[in-house]
Amino acid sequence: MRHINALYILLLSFFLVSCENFLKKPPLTELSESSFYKSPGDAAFAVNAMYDGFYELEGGNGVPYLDVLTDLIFLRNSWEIGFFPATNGSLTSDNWWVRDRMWNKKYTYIRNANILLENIDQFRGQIPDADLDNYKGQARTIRAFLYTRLMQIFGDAPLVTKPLGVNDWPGTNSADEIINFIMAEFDQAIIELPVDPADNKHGRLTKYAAYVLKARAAMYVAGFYNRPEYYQIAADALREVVNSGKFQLFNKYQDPAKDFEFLFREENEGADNREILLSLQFVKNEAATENTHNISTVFAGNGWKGIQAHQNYIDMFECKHGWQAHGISFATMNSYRDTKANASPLAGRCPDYTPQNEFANRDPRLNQTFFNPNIRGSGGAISKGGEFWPEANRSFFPDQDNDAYFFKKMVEPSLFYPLYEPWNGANNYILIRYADALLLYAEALNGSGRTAEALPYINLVRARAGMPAVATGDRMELLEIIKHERKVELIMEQQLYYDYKRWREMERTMPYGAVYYGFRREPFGAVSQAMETKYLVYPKYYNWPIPTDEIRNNSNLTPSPNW
Amino acid sequence: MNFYTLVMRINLALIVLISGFLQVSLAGYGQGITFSEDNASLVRVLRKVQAQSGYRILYGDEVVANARPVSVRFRNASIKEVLDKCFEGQPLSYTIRERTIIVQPRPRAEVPQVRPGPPPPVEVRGTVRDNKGEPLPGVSVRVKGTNVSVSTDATGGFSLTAPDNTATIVFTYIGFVTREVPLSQGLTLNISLEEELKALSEVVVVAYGTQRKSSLTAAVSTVKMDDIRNTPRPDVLQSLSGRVPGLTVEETNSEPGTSPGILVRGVGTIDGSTGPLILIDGSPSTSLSAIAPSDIESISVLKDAAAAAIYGARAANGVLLVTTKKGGEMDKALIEFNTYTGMQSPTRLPGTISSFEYATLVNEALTNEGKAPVYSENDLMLFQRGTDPVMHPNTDWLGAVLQENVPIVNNYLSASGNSKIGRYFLSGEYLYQKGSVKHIDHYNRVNLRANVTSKISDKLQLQVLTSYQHAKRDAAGVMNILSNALRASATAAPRYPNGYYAGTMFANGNYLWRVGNQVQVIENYGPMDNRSSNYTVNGSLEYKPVKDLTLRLMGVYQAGTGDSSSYQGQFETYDFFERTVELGRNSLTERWGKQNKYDLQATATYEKRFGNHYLNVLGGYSQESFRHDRLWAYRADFINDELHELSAGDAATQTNGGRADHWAFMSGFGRLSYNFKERYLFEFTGRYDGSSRLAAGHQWDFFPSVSAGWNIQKENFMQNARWLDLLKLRFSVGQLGNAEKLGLYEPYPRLDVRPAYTFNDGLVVGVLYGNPANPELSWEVSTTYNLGLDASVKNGLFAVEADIWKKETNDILLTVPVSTIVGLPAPSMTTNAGSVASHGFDLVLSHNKQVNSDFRYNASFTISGWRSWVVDLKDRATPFGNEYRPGGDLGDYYGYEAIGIINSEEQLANYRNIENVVPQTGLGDLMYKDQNGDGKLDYMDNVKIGNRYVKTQFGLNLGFQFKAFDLAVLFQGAANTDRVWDGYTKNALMNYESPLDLHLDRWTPENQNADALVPRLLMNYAHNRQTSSWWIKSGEYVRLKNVQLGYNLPDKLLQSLKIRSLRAYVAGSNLFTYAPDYVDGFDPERDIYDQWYPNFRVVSLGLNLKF
Repeated sequence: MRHINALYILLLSFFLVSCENFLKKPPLTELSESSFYKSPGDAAFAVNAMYDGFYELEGGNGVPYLDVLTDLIFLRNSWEIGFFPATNGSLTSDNWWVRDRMWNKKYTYIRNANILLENIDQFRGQIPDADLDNYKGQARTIRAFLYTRLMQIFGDAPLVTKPLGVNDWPGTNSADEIINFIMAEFDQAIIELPVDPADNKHGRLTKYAAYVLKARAAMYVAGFYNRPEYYQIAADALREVVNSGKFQLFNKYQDPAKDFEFLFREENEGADNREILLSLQFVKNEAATENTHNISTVFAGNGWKGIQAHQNYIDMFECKHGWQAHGISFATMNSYRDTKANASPLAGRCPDYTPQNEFANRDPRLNQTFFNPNIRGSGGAISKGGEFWPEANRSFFPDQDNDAYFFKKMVEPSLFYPLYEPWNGANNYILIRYADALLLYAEALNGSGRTAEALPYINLVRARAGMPAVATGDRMELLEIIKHERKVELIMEQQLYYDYKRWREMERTMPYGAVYYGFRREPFGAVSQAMETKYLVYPKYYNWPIPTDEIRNNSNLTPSPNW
Repeated sequence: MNFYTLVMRINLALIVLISGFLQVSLAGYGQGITFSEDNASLVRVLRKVQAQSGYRILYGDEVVANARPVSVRFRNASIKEVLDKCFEGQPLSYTIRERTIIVQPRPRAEVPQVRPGPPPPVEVRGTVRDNKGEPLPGVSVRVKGTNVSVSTDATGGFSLTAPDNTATIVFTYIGFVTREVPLSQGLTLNISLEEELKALSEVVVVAYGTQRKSSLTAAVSTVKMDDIRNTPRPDVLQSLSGRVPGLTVEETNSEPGTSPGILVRGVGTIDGSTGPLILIDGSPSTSLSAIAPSDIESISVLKDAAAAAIYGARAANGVLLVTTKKGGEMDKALIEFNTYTGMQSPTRLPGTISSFEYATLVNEALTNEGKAPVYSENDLMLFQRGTDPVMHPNTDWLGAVLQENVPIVNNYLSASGNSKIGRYFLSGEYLYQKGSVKHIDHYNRVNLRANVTSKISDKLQLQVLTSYQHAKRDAAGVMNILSNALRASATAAPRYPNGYYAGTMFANGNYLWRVGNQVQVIENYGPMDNRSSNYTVNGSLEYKPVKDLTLRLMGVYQAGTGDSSSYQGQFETYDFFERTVELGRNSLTERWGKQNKYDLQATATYEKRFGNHYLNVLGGYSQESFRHDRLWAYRADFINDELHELSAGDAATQTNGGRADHWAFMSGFGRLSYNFKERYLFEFTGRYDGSSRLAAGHQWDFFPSVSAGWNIQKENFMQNARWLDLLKLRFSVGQLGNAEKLGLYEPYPRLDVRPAYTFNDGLVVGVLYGNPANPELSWEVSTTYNLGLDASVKNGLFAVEADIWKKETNDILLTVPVSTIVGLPAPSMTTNAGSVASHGFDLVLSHNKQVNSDFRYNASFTISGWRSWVVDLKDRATPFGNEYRPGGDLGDYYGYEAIGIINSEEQLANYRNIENVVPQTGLGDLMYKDQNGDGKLDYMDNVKIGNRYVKTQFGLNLGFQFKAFDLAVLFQGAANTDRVWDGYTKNALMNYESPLDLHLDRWTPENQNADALVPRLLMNYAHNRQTSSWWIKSGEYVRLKNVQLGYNLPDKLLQSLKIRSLRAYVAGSNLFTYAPDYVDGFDPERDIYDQWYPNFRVVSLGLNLKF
């Protein structure tokens, strides 16, 4: 019996000790939070993940769609983007896209940045200060960028700078508070970030990228909130970029008919392209990441071809000698809207303008931004088939909409031949480039009353595109020139929607009920088609509403005005 | 109770158990027999021997009637000694087989076997009466082993000729105990038959044992498996619909290999799993769907806390106890062969539209949006003419991929009996089912089972239940194929005349759009193999160390594997204008997964009847652990489409991954049952559970229940009401838990670690913070009250089983919103907040009647209803929540109330005055009601517009037996439920998807019909698609769920064929459906949704053969 007693005790002790262990089943696959920020290297992982913050927020699917909110281009298919109702005036405060991309995701990345900034100083001394500052600078810049967006989209919004708990229900902060915060943050980040990029593809933030991001925010404040002193802040930031000597406009081919188009090509996305300050990274066949569907999809994807240009945008490209040569006012053209009755505003004013081939003898950027829809249609009916694209060995676009303006800018021809994989692009998407910085600098200088100083920077950009220099001493005229130049240079670069807002340009260009037409068919004996009608009301559509879900749950929050 | 006291208790129970087993080995097997008798009857002596030895002794009263009394004295004698002594000088002899002693008349002295001539036939006559002395007409009187049979006449009299005077006569009558009388008793038989109180003597499987139905205090329903076995549905759950009060079967589609959802007494909690706990032969199992229905002996549905609380923390949604067959008593094996072949077809088929109609609708929608039409007049003409198969075809996409009539075949063979190794049940099933998608969509299933119960000694019994299931499917996601076909435009052709696959929609001579060419998909499908295997070994030892005490130790190992290998061949894309073909990449994805589950249970049961008192005490311990490992690998660019092994792909393209999950569960439980004279019944159960899903400190909880019953008809004052079989009141109250709905790793805060971004064209790992853990999480607890009444009169002529119940669930594990500003990846957290109340009723009315000897029938009507509503969401109350609102019901749909279709300019102008009405609203659009009258349309105007759950359901089960024919009919229906209209069937034309023919009933400028089924068609504008009452339809229906007509081969033929029985039948499922308020083409058991796969109507022919 003694043996049996021993057996009992053995069994008893086995169950006593095993009970808790038996029920302890920690995750087998995922990493647990308590094991993070235990070594300085963790900060690197945290920062890596934040770069998505630049990317997935604006369009979804890796496509920067925001410019369809202007009068220049439109989206044919409502289902491609969640914020489609914002293009036509039927946006509601429970729009899922605004909630998800413009609000939730922003705060998700802000939380991660807050956690990093909270935790990282414990490693000071363990790694070189420069590395530590670099991590902080990147997180800080991304956070400030995200707040810039929140301020631009919602105006007043909660400002959260520390990680919050699940029971916190923050209230709204004024746009002013956000502006003060981001300006200070950018300044701090500029100190922390390195001068030279750490990688060869302009993927990492540098001091100069932060300068431009700060300048963009400042320009928005100056314009949208009518705070002219911010022109000076923007100008000061951009001066550092312009005077650094590190950047120059891309002109590898010394060919105005090519440089603008090839600036965006994969082959030119490396360090030797000194126009790029920051770009969003894409790699072919990288199924593990979300950033696979690059911009080419939407322009030339498998039947999407959703984004097209309005005729008035096409009309907005200058004749090759420039409008000043023909006495056409930039101001007029900036608010010009095509109507069915209109002939082209260029007809009879530009001597070498041909209604049947609008792409001939124009600003070279027109041919580099859009495919010429009717190269064979030189008299009478619109012919089938599109422009032949030698690099891709394909013709674009045999479609029922072949008389439409499809994007060529940023589309990578290698995706179309031999395999038709427009979604599988490797060309990076440029987030910040020098031409934008130059135009912003000019605008900031002009806004600060230094019109004469501003002019050369615009002409630099025009010169690369092969356009004659403009000349004016008039501050208002120069502003119109800059607006025009930005519209032509920066389409689909996620700048123009915010530009329209800060220029307070929307009432002028997109009044309630305005109808926009596609390809002008009249010269071919057909009738132009209405592509969209915008029922936008102002000031309502200058901001978007804080999502209903949040308002519904959080009584500390003030709903957006006008919504 | 703290953790360590619990452990102590568990261990005490274990010690008791183990000590029991140890005694087995010490005391051994051949304990002797000790008693003494003087001049006692042999019967009395044999009973003593039986009691002491545990041997079963079989003897006929008539055999021992002329035995001599015996005087014996034994001390520690062996059974052989005892028996030899007792049978000394008797005209009897005995034989021992297995553990059974059979007493027979002593054979005549060993005379050489001379075959005697055939004995003379004898005339037998007599009368049959019931136990009150009333004559019984229509009793079947048969000579055993022959086909000679007569029925008694109106006075209960009969006469027949038996082959000889050693024959046995069998008396059978429905509702009475069958009686066999040997002719050795004489040739005039005046017999009385005992009424069979079947409903009362019925034994019901309950948790950790069985119970007589008459002594149940809990709400337990059983499924009559006889009704189900021949239903031509592969999954037993599909056959349960309408048969069990309080059990809802949600069969939203009949795709082979899928299993319907089941709910016991509705839904009592918010979010999360709502299905019951399923146990097969006592061990928790993940699914019932692959088991062979013919293997199932019984299914018990435990509905209230009294029945289920012993399963504690996982029983809040009810429990299904499934018991497989264990084998028979007969030495001679019973071989059963069942087979059926059925034809399956959709219950309802959505109607599609022609290409001409499609083009018309597209143009109409664009015109409605103020845009130019895309189809020219010429296009429309060509679509109408149908002369151009390239650019203007009229394709029936659904018809091209859907096979309307598809077969199902099931063959089932089993053998059962009692042999030297013990009771055994062996079976094999092969099922083949074709799904609705052409070319692919096959399902094959093999089931093997071997259940053996063996007595090792008098006190020790071993049971080994093993089963193996293998299912193979050659497709996955076939619902997509049908769904895509459903919404593919008829204006695209599957192929061009030159043989290349098409799928392109043309308009005006140019490309318009491309549909997913599902003909190409099915013709180039795979090869694809989806295999899953399950192997279960359930071994148990049952030991009875002393009388009344049973110790049981059970170990269950379940091993499952699931693997799929899907090859995607090169997909050709043909450019019509360029005349070029592009081939896509080929690729192979292999997925392997394995699941292992261990379940260890130990129970001790003490059962004792002393005088009028009956006591049953059960204590037990169980532990379970589970682990699931998954692995996947991918390669692309195979050298050709013939080689489908990973190595044939390009190594540069390879990716792989793997995951694993695990959980564990540990419990101690007990039950105490007591009754006095079976008149007053009491039961107490409790379970102490621990789960790995909760953090230490919160992972243990106790779930008790008490119940009582009063068998009123057993009271003395009821003794005169002889017509009353049963009148019982039951009441129970108890608590059940639920933590299963939690994720596996709630106590552990997690990070999102993944290749996040690329720098320098190389992937880098990034880490984002996940939602924080909530270590405070605990079980949600529901308290259930049940009041039941069981009554039966005139031996089941009429019977009723009624239950009303009430349930309060508190500390609900609720996903509550967290401010999005906090920045969690999911702006929510799980917390114990809020409470939900439910109530409901279950009612069964049944009627059984034997009209005459040829005809009897039975009918039972089952109805149950329930409702659950939110009582409190604590501080997380969201008065305008989209899913749950305080005071609202679970399953409510919230949205705008659609007042109607705008049909006049005046209406439009008035409606436009409301703020937030989208500017594109026009004639023919829906009008939403501004509920609060604030002149503004927003979320505050969302009201309840419907409820998704089936809250009332009923079934009418009819059975008829006429001579050799039997007929069973089941009508089943649902009420108080709504279905939602969603997906592309609501967003018709979005993305150029094709509308259905039901969209033809629409508002148009030409036909301004405010009563149209759908508002005017739009492509891009979304304002009619808002969630509104317009898109809610009542899901009420009644359907002929099952019908079965059988014919039993008469005994005469059976005799000559040397088989026990043969039945041929024709059966049907879902033959007819009445759903007046539903939309044509969609089965009322599913939503109106483009994610569509048919529900099947099945007609089958089958055979049941026993020999």
